[in-house]
Amino acid sequence: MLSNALNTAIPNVGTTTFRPPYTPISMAAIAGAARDGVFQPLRKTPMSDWHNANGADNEPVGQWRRPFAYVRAGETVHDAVNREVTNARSNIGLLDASTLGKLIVKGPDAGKFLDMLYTNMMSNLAVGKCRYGLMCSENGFLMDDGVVARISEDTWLCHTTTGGADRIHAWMEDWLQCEWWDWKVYVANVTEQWAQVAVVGPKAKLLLDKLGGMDLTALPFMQWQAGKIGGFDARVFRISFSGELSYEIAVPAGQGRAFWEALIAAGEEFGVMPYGTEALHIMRAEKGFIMIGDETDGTVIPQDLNLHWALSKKKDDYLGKRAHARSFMDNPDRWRLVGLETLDGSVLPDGAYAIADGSNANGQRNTQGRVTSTYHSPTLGRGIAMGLVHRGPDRMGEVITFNTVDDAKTVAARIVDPVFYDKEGAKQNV
Amino acid sequence: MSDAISALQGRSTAGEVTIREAGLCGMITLRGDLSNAKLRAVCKKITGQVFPEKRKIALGEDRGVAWMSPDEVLVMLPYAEVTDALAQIDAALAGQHYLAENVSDARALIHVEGDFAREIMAKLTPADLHPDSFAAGDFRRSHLGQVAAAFWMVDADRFAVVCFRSVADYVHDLLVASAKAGPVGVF
Repeated sequence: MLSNALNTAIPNVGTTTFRPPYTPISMAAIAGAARDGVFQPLRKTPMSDWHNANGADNEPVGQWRRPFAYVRAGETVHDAVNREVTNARSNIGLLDASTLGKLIVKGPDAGKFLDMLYTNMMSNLAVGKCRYGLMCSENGFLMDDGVVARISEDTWLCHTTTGGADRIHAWMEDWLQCEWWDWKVYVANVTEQWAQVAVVGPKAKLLLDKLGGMDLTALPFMQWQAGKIGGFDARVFRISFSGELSYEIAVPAGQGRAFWEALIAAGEEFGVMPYGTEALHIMRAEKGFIMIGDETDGTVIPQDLNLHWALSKKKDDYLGKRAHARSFMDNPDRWRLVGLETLDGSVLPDGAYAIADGSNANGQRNTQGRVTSTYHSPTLGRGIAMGLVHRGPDRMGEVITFNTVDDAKTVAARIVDPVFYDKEGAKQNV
Repeated sequence: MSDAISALQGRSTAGEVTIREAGLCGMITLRGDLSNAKLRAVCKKITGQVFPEKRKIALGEDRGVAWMSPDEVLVMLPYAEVTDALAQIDAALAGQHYLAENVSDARALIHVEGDFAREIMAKLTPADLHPDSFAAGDFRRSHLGQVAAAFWMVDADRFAVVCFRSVADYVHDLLVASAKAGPVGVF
C-alpha cells in the first residue's frame, strides 16, 4: 500500500521505526504464568464447589462463574430453568447472591454523599430499612442499581450489581478523593466478607422458621435485621427481585458453604431447590424489573425505563440531574420501556429491532424500538419480553413488527405493560 | 457461630518453595486519621505492635498492623478475637470519623516459604522486590498476576500474601506455577 501511495518500488519505501522489543521474544515470555489453569482468574463464591458438584451449568459473569441452572439427569438446560422458576414460585428457591457488590459507606457526610450518588434520597432512610436506588453518571445515563440498607446512624450498606462492585467502589473513591475531598466519608468494599443467599418463594418463611433464631414475623418488606438463623450469624434483608416472598441472608463467607447446606437439608420437606441466573432473569422479567446491562447500555436514562418515581424532586442536585434537563433527554420522542407480547406466543429474538416504514439516509431500514430482555415464561406458558419503543407507553395495545435473523420472517408483538406477573405485588408483600 | 472455614482450608503445595494457605486469620480494615493518637493507641493495644511507617508492616507472632494507604491500615489478629477488637476500636474512637470493618472472611492469607521466595514473588508483581528496595518488614499493596494482592517479607526466604477470598485458588496456583518454573537468578 505504501509503495503504491508513494509510487515507488517496495524496496525503496524504507524500513519502519523499530519499537521495543528490538529483538524478537517468544509469546511465552509475554504470557508468563498466564496459561492453562491460571490463564485468567476465575472468582469463586464460598458455595461454588457445591454448585459444581450439583449439576451447575455455569455462565461467566465478569470473572465469576455463576450457575446458569442446576441441570439434573435427563434434563436439558431449558428444562432445568423452567423447573427452577416454577419451584421458586410454588415452593422455595435458593439463589447464591454472594457476587452482588456490598459497599460500606460511613461518616458524618455519608448521607449527603449518597444523596449525590443516587437519584433518590438515601439520607432520610431510617436505620433498619432498605430502599432501592439508581445511580447515574454525570451525563445522566443509568450506571448501576441496587438496594441500600441503613446499618446505623452514620453507616449505610450499598448493594451494587455483580459487575458494579469494583466499578462503583472506584466511582465512590473517585468522587471522594478528587471532588469532595473535604467530605467526611469512608468507603470499604466488603463484597467478599459475606456469603449471601436469596431464600425465595411462598414457603421461604417456613424454612427459616424451622432453622429458627429470629422472629421474622416482625420483619416487614424492605427492612433488615441482624441476628441468628439456625446458629449462623446473619443479616436478613427482606427484599425481592423475583416478586415472591423473599429473604436475602448474608452470613460471614467462612460459614457460607455450611449455611447453604443447612438450607438445602432443612428445606427438603418444603421442596427447596437451588436456582441459577437464568431463572433469576426470568422471574425478574415476569415482574418487569429492569436489569443493568439488559435494559441499559450506557445510553439509557431512568426516564426511559419509567423510573421517574426514583428521581428525587426534593433534592437540589444529584449526579445526572442537570443532564436529565437537556432537550434531548427531557423529550417525548425517546424510546421507552414497555412489555412485548408476541401474537403467536413465541419468544422474540434477543436484540431484535422493531421495524418502521421507509429507510434512512444510508439506505437502512428505519427502526422504532428494540428488544432488551426476552424469555420463555414457564409461569405464563408463553414468550415475554421487554423493549424500548418510540413513545412506547403512549402506544399500549398497538401491534408492531420485529425482525429476525431470517430476512423473510418477522414477528408481530403487542405493546403491553412490562409487569406480566402479580402487578399488585401481593406475593412479595405478604 | 457455625464453624467457619478459610478459603483454601489450609491447602499446602510442597516443593523447593512451599505455598501454604494460613487458614483462618482475623483482619480488620481500619480507615481514619493515621496520625491520631487514639487510633495508634488502640492498634497497639490490640496487636502489641508499634504503629508501622509508610509501606511497612509491624508484625508479631500472630498480630500485626500493615500500612495500606495514607488513611488505611490492616489490623491482623487471631480470627476469634475480631468481634472483641472491633468493640475496642469503636470504644476508643467514639465520636471521631473512622471506619472499622471485619474483612477476615473476605481474604485469604498465603505463605511463600523457601530458597527463592523473593523471585517467585518478583515474577508475578510489578512492585520492585530488589533486595535494595524490599526487605523484611516491607509491605506493598500491589498486584500478583491479574489480581490485587498485598504482601510483605518476613525474612529472606519467607513472604506472606493477602488476597481476596474469591481468587485464593488462582493466587495459590499462580504461586505454585511461579515456584515450579524455578529461580531466575537475577537477585
